[in-house]
Amino acid sequence: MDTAHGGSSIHRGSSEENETRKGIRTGLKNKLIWTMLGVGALPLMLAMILSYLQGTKSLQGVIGTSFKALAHETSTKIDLLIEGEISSNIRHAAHPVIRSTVESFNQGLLSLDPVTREKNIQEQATGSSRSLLEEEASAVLQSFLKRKTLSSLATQALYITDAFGVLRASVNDFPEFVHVGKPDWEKTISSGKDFVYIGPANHNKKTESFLTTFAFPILNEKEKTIGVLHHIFDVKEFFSGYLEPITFGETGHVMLIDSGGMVLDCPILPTGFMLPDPVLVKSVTGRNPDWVKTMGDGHGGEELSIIGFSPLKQTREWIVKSEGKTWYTFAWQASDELFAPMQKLFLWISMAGVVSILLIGGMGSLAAKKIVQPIRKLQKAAERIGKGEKVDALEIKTGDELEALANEVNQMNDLLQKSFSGLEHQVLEKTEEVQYLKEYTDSILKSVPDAVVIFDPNLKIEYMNAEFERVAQQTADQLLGHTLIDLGPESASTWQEVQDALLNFYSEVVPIGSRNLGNQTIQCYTAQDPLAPKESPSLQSMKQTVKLDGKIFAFQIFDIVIHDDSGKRLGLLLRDVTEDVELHDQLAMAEKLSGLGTLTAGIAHELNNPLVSIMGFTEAILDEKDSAKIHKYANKVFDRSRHMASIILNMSGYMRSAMSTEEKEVNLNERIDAAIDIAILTSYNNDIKLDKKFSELPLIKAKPEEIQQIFTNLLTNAVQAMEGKGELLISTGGENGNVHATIRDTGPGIPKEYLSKIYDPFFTTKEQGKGTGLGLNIVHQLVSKYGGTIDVSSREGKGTTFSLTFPASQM
Amino acid sequence: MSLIDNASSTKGKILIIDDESEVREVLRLHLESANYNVIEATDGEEGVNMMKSGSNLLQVGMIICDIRMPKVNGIEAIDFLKKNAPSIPIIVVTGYPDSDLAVSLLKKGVKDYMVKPIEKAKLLEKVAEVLAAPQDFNYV
Repeated sequence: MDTAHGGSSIHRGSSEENETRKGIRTGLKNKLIWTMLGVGALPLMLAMILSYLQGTKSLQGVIGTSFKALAHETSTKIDLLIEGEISSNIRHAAHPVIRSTVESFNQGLLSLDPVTREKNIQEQATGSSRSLLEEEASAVLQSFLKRKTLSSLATQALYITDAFGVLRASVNDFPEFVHVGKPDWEKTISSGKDFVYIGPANHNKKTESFLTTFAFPILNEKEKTIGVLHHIFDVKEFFSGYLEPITFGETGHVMLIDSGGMVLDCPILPTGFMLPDPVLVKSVTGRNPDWVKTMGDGHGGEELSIIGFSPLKQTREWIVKSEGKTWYTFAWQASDELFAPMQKLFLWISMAGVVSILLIGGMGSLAAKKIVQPIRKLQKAAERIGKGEKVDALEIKTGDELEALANEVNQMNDLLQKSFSGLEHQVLEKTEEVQYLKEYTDSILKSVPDAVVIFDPNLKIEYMNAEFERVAQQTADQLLGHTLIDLGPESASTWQEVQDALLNFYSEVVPIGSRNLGNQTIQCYTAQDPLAPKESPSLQSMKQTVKLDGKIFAFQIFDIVIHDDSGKRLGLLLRDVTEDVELHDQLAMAEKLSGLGTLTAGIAHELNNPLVSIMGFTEAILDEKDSAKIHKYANKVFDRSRHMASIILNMSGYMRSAMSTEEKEVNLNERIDAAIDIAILTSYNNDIKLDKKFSELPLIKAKPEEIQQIFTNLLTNAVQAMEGKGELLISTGGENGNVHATIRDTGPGIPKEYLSKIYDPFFTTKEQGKGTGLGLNIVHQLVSKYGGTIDVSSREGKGTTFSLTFPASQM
Repeated sequence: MSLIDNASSTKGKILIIDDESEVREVLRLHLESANYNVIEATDGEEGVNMMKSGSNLLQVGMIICDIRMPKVNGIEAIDFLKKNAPSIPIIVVTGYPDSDLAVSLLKKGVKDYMVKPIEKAKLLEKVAEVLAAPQDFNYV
């Protein structure tokens, strides 16, 4: 399950990797192409845009300049036309008939007083105006128009007025009779000989057209103005002959406007049309010929337009004097037509750009492919090297850094292959080493003379050595995976005991939270006093022994430190200690016997002294005749006998109480007293100052013999160490439910280096044959047996102190 | 025993060294019954000092010595006496029936190792025997 899952995830991972690899693989080529496009196309585009803008600008300049030239040329032409018209009209005005006609009328009216003159003029006005046309002067005027020039065709009226503004001759009946108050007459009659009036174009309702009036002074011989020659033109007709043939392209043309924006003549717009855009009008009515770019063209278009314009310079002077609006030529072409070449330019440049980019892209792609191919080859090789596959030497002959790189990769590949094979060899070697080590430790464990068992966290047997198979009398196959309980009905109680100890140990070693003992209950669990000094579990378990098939096994449980998560493992060590135990028992017996010897000697000594007296005095009685002396000796015998009896009673009392094999309530003071009596006799010196400080003591529960042995051994050691001379301080006391005893001697003390060994079995400082070396070992065992403690402190040359405590029995 | 006997150096003496007064009393009783002149010391130290004082070194013809005593025990006293007055015979009378000790003391030149209690006849027999024997002078 797990492996299948793992496998699929690996597969998925690799396919994702492939996709990213693919992305990476195409990345370099794209990057190169994009770089080339960036490097090539951007400046190209910039250049194209710049050239387009520059081209547009210069094209506009060229167009503008040509428009300006056109406008200027046209304005000059019209100036000339007007100049010519003015000069021919001035000639007409100087015609003698006209001059004389005007003069004669002036004479007639001058002679009249103003009122009569007015009346007369009124009368003449109401009179037949027809008669005017028949005047000689009118005929002369007619003759002026005989030539079918453009100006005569455009002439709407040609007439003369006298100094009083009265019509005196005309080519038709168009003019009115009285011209007083009209600007053309008023200005001309009052402005001297060189004045020419050019009037504004006004709409005439009669002719439904725009007319302009030219007025010229009629001078007498003294060059004084005597009348006015009026020449009225139809504006459109007057100018169209000159303006309208000037066209260019489809829509290009020149038109004439006045400074107020009114169209005088235009091939498209009607005369009198007011250009609606005052900005446009302002920009095209400069004092000098020029061209402008404007938004809007005056013909309804709102796009960018180029307009050339030029004032009519000559005409302007007359118009200014006539207080009219100056005239301008205006060269214009429709925007779409005007900008057609620019759009074409733009189109061409764009096409060139697109073609260039395509070319750069295509060629870049080719170049990138050529560069990328060897890189891709390298990358594939590196990928295979990375996977640990064998890769043949790369052949890339580009003659540049790539070839060098390929050579490096080849070299690296060679080195890797070499080190790979070296590594394989090393792995092989290490595997053999590990295998050897495993076999080595395995055989060590197998050959250990003690039985070794390793338990898994469920306390099932995970490993055992050959010795354990022998002890359990079963084979490995029967034992593995079983608990000790499963070992069979024979010696089941023994295995149960070991199992309990294991569980106990387990509960001490493994934190409660992380136990995994299944449904097994923890038996023999003893609550731990948290303040009690912690004894290592192994030390405790070392003391434990079990019997198996008549043999005694000491067992020890140990914690196996394995740094993994598989759980806590315990080990069990079983050692056949049958012989050790037997030997130890024998030695303990020897010690006991030697103690018995000492005791016997002591008793003998104690008894022999009074016995000397008894025997001696008895013999004296037998020999004595003197009854007084006999009596005296008999008394002595009696006294000594009593003393002896008391000694025997005392001793047998000790004996009787000490001989008990049952545990009973023991008074420590009594046992110490008995021990003193015995110990004190173990030296030939009888010079020990005894200092007993006994307190009332609670009783302790123990075998009296064993408690007495503890003190006999300690006190004998003390007496012998002091060689029978010195002070022996023995004190007892009871507190906090404990009984304590202190034995202090003034002997030579125990050298420091021996202090840690004194409880070891067979350790002795006494000369050969004087001690078994078991005395203090037995003391330690017995003290521990009754849950007591023993401490020793010693200063060389000063003495030794043993302090003992026993728990008082719970009464 | 006349005063002169006591004062003069001609009469021999037996020195008893024992810490038990009853033992000394019995031994004196036995020895005096055989007309021996007896002096007593209560321990090894007193015994040695007594030997050094007066004419005892010359007069004391035998020492009866206990082993277990305060201050200077029998073994130590014997060692001293055997070194300084080897000719004076010593009999050990002790409560310890210790054969090892007996052997070691006999090797040191003690005339006998007698274990208490002692019968009067045996004691006197031994004393007479020892006194009759030639003294162990070191001639070299």
